[in-house]
Amino acid sequence: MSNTALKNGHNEDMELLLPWYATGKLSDGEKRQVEAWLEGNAQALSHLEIVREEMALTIESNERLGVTSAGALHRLMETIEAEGDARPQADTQNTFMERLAEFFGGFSPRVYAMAMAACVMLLIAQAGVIGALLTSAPDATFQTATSGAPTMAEPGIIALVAFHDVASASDIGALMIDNEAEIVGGPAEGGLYRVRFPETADPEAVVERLRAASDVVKFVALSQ
Amino acid sequence: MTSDGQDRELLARIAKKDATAVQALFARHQTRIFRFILRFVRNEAIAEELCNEVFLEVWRKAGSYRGQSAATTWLMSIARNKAISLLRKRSDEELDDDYAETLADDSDTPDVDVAKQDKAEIMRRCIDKLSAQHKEIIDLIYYHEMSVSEVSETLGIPVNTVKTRMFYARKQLSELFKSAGIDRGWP
Repeated sequence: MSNTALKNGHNEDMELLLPWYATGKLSDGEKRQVEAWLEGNAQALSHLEIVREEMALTIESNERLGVTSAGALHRLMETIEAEGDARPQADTQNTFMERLAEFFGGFSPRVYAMAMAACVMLLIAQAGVIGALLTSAPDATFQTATSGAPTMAEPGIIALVAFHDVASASDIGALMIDNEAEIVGGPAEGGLYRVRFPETADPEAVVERLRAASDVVKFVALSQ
Repeated sequence: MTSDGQDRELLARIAKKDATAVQALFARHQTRIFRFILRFVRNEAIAEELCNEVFLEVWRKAGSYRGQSAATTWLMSIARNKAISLLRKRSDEELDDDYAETLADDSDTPDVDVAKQDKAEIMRRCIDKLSAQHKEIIDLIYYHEMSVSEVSETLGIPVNTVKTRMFYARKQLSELFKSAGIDRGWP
């Protein structure tokens, strides 16, 4: 490399690897090499801090980009359904535990803990609801959040909500309290929860408020 | 099972035309795909449409996924191809194969008064001012947390080029910071 910044007494290879060291994406061998280079090297350590600052800014910049609209999945599934080659769900139905494992696998530890708590609650109080959400009739086609029918009579306004992986339990809890809402079902396929709002609430306003909480809510749609 | 293992299992189910599996894959990756595409096309509606096209292609071609790369790398490669394909069609936003000549957009140089504005906000604006090529590689590494080899596969460039491109992307970023009055003492 011709750049003087890399030639000026630095270990070029180690300098180049710093971004991946910061993200934890180096092999064990490379990681040990970088750590040996960093040890007692004040200049290298200051460069690592610069890399970490860049990383934080980049993540924040991306997080501000927003998310897809609530109807995106529905449109995708309509297109797929129109292709006419989807197999009935029963043909590929996984076991209950496999589906739970699949669902939790995409979550951060914080959300995992929250989701586990929700699941335990539901196992006790709404086993029937979970069964209906996680299984389907042999001749069923797929259902999206916007087309899924309620599985039991639920007073109030019901919305289907998916939360961001990085959303904390306290963030979700605060959102529920602020909107006088409660999680009454889920998680279903795709991480969707059934969230109930007071009967007096304006359905459109409910959706707008949840969409506004885009740092917590990934997807929201009113249940039909 | 690892996250990649779960993705691979979902792809295997999608290859068998299990519609619920594509729903699950969508839920897991839609945000990262959407944001990656949005960086290219700079239009939310178009980005969302392309994002859906990515998953539609996954639905159609999951059977061709051989598992030689991580599932997310495969998804990102599809997303990148879709975005570049669209940009190629745009007369006002030509994009060469390697689009190496793309330079930072200096139409609005962030020569703002650091003392009066939030430093972090200025720095984020500098990231947005990076050239498309440099912004892409910084996003892939810092936000999408791709390894050197995964970036290499996604961009179709040698691993050494990945490392040097990232270095020059960071250098360009530092220069943008300097022009905004923020000198980090590097490089």
